[in-house]
Amino acid sequence: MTVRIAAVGDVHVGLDFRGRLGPGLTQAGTCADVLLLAGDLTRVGAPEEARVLVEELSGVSVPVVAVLGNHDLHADRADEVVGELRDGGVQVLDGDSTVISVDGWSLGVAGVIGFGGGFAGRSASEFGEPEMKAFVRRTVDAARRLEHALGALDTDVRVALLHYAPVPDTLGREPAEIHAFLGSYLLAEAVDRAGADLVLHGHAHRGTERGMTPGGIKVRNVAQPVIDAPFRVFELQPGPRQLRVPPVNGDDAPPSARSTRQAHGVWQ
Amino acid sequence: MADPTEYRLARLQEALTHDPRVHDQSLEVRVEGDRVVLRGELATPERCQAAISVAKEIFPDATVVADLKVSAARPRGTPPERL
Repeated sequence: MTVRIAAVGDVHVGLDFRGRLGPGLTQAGTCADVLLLAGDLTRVGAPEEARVLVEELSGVSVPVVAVLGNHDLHADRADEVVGELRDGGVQVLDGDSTVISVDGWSLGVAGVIGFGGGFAGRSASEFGEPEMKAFVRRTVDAARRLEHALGALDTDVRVALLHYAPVPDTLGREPAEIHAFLGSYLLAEAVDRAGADLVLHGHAHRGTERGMTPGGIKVRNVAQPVIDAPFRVFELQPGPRQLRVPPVNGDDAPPSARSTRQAHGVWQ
Repeated sequence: MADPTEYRLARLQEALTHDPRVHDQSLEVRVEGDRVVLRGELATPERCQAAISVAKEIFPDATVVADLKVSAARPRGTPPERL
């Protein structure tokens, strides 16, 4: 028995996309139990673009779970984008999680867009100008919410779904000068603290597929330009549950209590 | 006096980000002598053509070399990875 996860990011759907993405994505229903979308779903974050994506997803027969990406925020209409996606049956995560039942097993997905800041030894600090402090705080907050959402899951398989990269391993040919805008080590640290079976992200179009957090959790960059396919499929064997590290910042409820509720993000 | 090449290259990158026909930040852009090279992947053939047009508008005297792939409408998936 395996849990099969199809995933793709950075599809950048525009109004010119009708009929172009659907035929490929529809295959997810035959080879996976869920389809995860790792952000940059639209070109500029217009609700009309989200509506086109929903049309393209109409043939997908498995649950679809998504996080937004930076392109989806550009038009400052993220609430409307999320509304279109939700009306179309797509579950959008932002610092929260969802549980999907797969043949008696439970798959938990915790999602957050994430943000930049860079990687250990070469990262931005919450210091100096208000704008710099706000930049880093956004990542700190995303990492905190990811850790809470993952820690609240008590499922057979747990996946972290991000847009920004948690490790530099999967940045491939991206110039080192822009790594700080592509992800942050804080996201990997959050995953390592809370535990997960797999981390998926997009955003780095010139990246490579495979990486690992310092704690040994597999990371996969599923940006469509990287995977060169409609989606990737990952098969995970549910095994003995890991020892869970309680989330930071005062959430001291026992695992049994935490498993019955979900964190709530701003898109709720 | 014409803009130094370096500034025009920066303007090209900005234009690719903001031009409504492209809206892309991922393309690799560089100048090699009298050639402007665009490399990367865009979702549709129309966006690739638009990126070339944008480059020609900013570097009208250069030869634009486009090493661009189209990512939408890929026919089928790949074998699963067992983790």
